[in-house]
Amino acid sequence: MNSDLIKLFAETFGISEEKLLPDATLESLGLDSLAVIEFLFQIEDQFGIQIPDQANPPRTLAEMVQLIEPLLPPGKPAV
Amino acid sequence: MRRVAITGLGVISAIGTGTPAFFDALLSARSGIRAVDIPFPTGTESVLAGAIDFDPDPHFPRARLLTMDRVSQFALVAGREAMAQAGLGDPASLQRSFAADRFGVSLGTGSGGASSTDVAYTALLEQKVARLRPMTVVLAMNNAIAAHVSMEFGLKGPSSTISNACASSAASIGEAFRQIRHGYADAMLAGGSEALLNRGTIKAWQAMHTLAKPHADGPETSCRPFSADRSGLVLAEGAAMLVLEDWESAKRRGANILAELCGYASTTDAHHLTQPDAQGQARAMTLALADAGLQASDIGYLNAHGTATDVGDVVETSAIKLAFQDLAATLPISSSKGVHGHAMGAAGAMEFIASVMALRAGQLPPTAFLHNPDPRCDLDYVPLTPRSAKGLRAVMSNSFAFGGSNAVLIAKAA
Repeated sequence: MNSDLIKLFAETFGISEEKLLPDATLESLGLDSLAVIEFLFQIEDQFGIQIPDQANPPRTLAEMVQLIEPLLPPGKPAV
Repeated sequence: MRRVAITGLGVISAIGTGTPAFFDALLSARSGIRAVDIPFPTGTESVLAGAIDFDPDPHFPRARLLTMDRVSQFALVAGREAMAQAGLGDPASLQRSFAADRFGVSLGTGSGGASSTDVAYTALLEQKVARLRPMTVVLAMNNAIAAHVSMEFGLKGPSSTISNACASSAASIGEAFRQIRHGYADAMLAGGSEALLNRGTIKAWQAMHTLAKPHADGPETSCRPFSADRSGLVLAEGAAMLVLEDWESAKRRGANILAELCGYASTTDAHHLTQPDAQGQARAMTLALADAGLQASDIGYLNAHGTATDVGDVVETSAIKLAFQDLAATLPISSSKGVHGHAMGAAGAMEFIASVMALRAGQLPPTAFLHNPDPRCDLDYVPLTPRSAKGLRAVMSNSFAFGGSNAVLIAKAA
């Protein structure tokens, strides 16, 4: 997974990086749907990107990274 | 009608977190008011405030904090203490004792998530962002405190959030009392929370010209209820919560009953937006006594609204004389705002807790910094030092608000 994104995720939610395994569900990490929206919003602002509305919002960490990573500007470090 | 037991208390305030620390500071008249530097766009100003040094991280996971304004954080800290004292802090005890849909929430706040509103306006108008955080509405809405408290404990009974300015949480406790008394709920978590020390709210209050000026004896002594040299109120933050429950079910489950909540009245002055009215206030005290089935002579201590504004303290003095007649002269009365400041929507609950603790301890908290009483405030305002009052039967707590909303609560010994 994109290590910069994982680092940002860990800092935002105060969760140690070792716990952030790809298959970890966001719910098991203590994130409800509102917290996920806040995080995606933060990412959008930080990188000047637009994440399209999702019919099925990401359920796991890997799904969230898959959603964000292709939209990140090339060559720009995430944090 | 059912009787209502008080079985849990919780406080976070400028003079301490937890009811023992709170009451200890009240008795020793130890002030939590200080001068705080606030960075306004026009420059930093020193502002008197009952501010709390509060680090939310030990209390809440970061993900949850994204959805919680400071006002909700305070509400939960006080709510957890109250529920724990009532023996309902863990889900198993709670489920064993009450059906979720018979346990409600009744909270008060003046400004709700005002800090989040301030942050949003700053982002929009100062930083000129094109859009606001997705959580802005749910951070700032007044009933967020009730939402967070109900989710924390799984309380699915009646829910209300009352915003009657300085009388908000006294009214919320009173209305919770009625929910139980009349059988709509078996238990209620009731109280209030306020976190208004942000730039916009402070500027709005400064414009009212009701805030205290720094006193020569030190900023911590600047709020001086009933004193000849009082200069106004001091804004404060905090929360206070009570667990109220049906008397019989409290007995059945072997709860430690701290006191009985036995009287409440709410009146409106319909007189002036900011000028208090002695008649309206006195009527609230008289109706609360009737509601409790008590005589004025049964009240052994009155926690006054006592904000330390020039007009407010004089009018309350007149109102107490109207309600208590000849007994007013010998009734011990104090205002605790001199030490914790005016916590607005949380003030009524904070001061009712002070009254309940006085009832239990037989110790009356003094009015701090009352070296030189205003001759117009000529009642027994228990100056400077606590007073022993063994055998107290009942206590009253006054809350009077801008807008003419009055709320009076009475508790008696269990």
